[in-house]
Amino acid sequence: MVDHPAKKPPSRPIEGGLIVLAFALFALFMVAPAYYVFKGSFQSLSISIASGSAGWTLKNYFYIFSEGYHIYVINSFLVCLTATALACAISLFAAYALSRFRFRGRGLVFGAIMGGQLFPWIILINPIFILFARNGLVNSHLSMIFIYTAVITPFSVYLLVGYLTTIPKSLDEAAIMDGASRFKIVTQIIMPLIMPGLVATATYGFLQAWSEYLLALTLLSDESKKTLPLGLYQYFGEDTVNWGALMAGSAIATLPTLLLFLPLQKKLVSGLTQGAVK
Amino acid sequence: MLEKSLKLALAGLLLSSTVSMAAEINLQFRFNDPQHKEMRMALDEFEAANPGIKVDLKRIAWKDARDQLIRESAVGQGPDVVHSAFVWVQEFAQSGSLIPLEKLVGYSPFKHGFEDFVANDLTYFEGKPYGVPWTADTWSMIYNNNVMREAGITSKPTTWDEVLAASRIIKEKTGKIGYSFIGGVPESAFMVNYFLWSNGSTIVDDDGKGGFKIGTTKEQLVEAMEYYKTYLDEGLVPKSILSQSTAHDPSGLQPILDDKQAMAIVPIAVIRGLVEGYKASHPDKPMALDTGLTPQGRTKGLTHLGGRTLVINSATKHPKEAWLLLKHLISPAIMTKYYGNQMPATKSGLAAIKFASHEQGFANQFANHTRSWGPYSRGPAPIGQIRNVLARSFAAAISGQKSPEDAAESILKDIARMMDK
Amino acid sequence: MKTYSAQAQERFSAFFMLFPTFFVIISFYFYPALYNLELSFTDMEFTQLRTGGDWVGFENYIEFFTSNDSFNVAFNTVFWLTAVSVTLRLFLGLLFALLLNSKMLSSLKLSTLSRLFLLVPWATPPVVSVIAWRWMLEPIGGPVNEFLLYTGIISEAISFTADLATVWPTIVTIMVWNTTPLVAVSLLASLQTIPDDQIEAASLDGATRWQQFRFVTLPYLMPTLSVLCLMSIIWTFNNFIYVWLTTLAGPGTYTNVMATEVYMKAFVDLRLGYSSAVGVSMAIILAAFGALYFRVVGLSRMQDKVG
Repeated sequence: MVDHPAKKPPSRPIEGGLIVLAFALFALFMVAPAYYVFKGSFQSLSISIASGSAGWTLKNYFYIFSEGYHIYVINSFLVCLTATALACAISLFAAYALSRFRFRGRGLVFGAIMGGQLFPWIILINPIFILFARNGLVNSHLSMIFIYTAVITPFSVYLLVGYLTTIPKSLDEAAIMDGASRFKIVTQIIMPLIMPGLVATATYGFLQAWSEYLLALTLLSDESKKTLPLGLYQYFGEDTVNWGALMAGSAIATLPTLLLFLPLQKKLVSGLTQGAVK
Repeated sequence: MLEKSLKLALAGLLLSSTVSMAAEINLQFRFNDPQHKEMRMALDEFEAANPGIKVDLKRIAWKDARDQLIRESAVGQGPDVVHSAFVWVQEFAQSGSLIPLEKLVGYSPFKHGFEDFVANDLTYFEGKPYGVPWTADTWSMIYNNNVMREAGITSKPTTWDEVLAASRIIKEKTGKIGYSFIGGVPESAFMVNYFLWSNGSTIVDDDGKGGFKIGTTKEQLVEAMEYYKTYLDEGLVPKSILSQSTAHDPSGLQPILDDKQAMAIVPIAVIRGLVEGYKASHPDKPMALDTGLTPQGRTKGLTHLGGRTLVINSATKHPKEAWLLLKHLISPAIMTKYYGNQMPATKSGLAAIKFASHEQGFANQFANHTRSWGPYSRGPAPIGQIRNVLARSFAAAISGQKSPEDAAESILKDIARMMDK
Repeated sequence: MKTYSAQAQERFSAFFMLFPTFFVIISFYFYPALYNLELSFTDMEFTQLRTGGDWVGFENYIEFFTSNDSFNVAFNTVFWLTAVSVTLRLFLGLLFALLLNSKMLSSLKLSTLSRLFLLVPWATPPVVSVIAWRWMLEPIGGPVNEFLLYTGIISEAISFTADLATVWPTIVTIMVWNTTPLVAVSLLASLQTIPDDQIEAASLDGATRWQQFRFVTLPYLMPTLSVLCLMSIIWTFNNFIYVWLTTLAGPGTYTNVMATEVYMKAFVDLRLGYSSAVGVSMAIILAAFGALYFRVVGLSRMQDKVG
């Protein structure tokens, strides 16, 4: 550091100080809640009649798993992974059709898909609950898979259309000359080429489903069917608020998203706004 | 058309998930109180006595229990045997969620008949009973005598005004809390009702012609809300009570245990929980907690005769086995062994209870100062909705969001709308 | 003949490729939306789930638009939930982006670390965010109250979610914490596309820092900023989770917003018809913002992208 000073030492020390201070505040604001969740998950924090002692412990984790927390974890993975796969599959074909074919009403279809992205699900909880309930489809993972597929699909199509435009159409044409069908082109030529884009799309879809709360709240009431966000929040519902258990559950619920975000954040950003801005 | 195709598509896939059915009978029992370990033992006993039946113990918090069952039973789902509050039974029966008792007693009758149960009128809907009272309960005053003594208060306050006066003295002399109450939705509704009842008014009343009317006025509601608002305005209670939604909420109980609060109105299970907690946290000290009657207004203090019922979901596939389980759970032996915090809801069971000395005030309240929900639950407005409307407006008034006048008006308007239906 | 059949084949492919997505959109978006409209004109309650409710015309809408509480609900939705939180989010997002882009930070080798910090709230699911902050702000044992009490700033713990003075700022803080990183990262990406020579040229011309920001940086960010702004408005306006999980719309109904009103009326008060009417009213307001969004983003430009 000494023999290699920064190119432009802070011209004004006050400004430098301010930036460091701003950074400290920023870091505190961003990280403190997560830090306390992590710390709390290893502490005894049950605030109840005659509360226990403090100290580092793993008992919160033991406790939530003894209470069946793993069921929520499994349910969430099952529902979210399946919905993501399904959504990616149908979105890939839809995106391909939208980027390669010209037909009447194409603008309308694209508009509908764009609208779906911004759709307020809160407005649909009543009709969806009633329609599902009448057909015996509440408390079913299958319903959740379908509904999450519906939630994820519009944005996935949007992202994939963006990636598909980077692939020259001449590739398709050459394949058609060789007698390949459109379906074959998508599965055998296009898919390998846009794999990175597909992975980013899938990640984003998975994250959306993973943290979804409202539809799960509306459609799931059976303990054995609940997804993570729903199961987690229930620790508030007990007569005592078991903060330690809440923190341990929170840490587990956040781990997969954090791991997925790390490698993908840059891709996600460009997908999210670039298309809209450029 | 769409609905149909959607249904077909999903139903086909659903089938595959439901084929794996075991031969033995599986019952589900949903229990909402904290004693789930004890209840599990009660179920183990049942399973041992009835080979071939397995019982799953499901749990849900009381605050979600009503909405949950209504939602499930509307679609033919939910546990077989369900723990319910007295006052929900009619609502459940109305939505077709329950099996009427007349059908169930056909499997096997009660030992002392249905007449032995207290408050069984609350389980009737259109002339037929739908639930079995399990535990009986009411709320009474609990005191922490250490705090009272510290503030130099020697006699227990008996009226609402004396309670307020005592609270002011306690705040002034010790900085502690005198009387505190539930300020959050939904159980704050009890606070309003107790105040109204002890002043001779009631939200829903019989109109004497077989119908129902609103039995209170704007002025009386305003009086109730202003009374409670005073505590917040003068800083006699912490603002956190506004987010306290039930009597079980630890944020409302801890101060009593810590000798930082003198008075509250709570149900018996909470009284017993607090006494246990106090013994544990103050070993070798004399018991400072005591119970007493709820305050008087212009008439005597009244609380509701409440409790829990057990009901059988109309969606059950095994009504006979569910009934067997229900009868196992209400048997006196099982109740004393595994559910001792509560009192049985039978006349014969109650007569056998010995109250501890610190529970004498509660016993007096229970025997002589309770009323049934009566017209509330018989009337056209669903009692759960009355509770919500009351609790929300009450919280809005005491927090300062609305003036007590506006809050009272909106209560009356909403109740009138519900009674019109 | 051959070209005709090839064209037919293309049409056939296009249809089958689009069909699943179209089916999903029709059956999970359009059909329920229409059914919701129908519901909003009935008095359907939960107990009538199997039978359906009776037609009541505009009664639900009249009740919603004439009730005093609805004003409170609308105000909360527009002002606190949307205006305040979106403004703060964009402002903080911009501030963080500028901070993270500053040469000072990279000379201190803090860039990577700060990006990592930004990632933490972003990756946190909303449910967890609410839990984390409720613990932070808990009156008994919560770190914020402990700190404030320890330093003597306050003498009595603050009930952040119960006190009318603090409850909205609390909800807004949770929302801003959870959603600002997306804004910051997006703006940071735009900032990095500004050519250095533009800034240098400006500073050679004697422009102050503020002028550089106002006349060079900001115009560059404007397109991203306006898209982010509209997206945030639409996402936030109908947001349910932060208010519901933090306060259940309380104390009383103090923090009730349109989304929680829809849920509460349907699933707590069991009035499905009325709740649907609130939902439809909400959808109409949102449609206006949606139209604006499409104007700004430009549907035609979308299609250019499609090629």
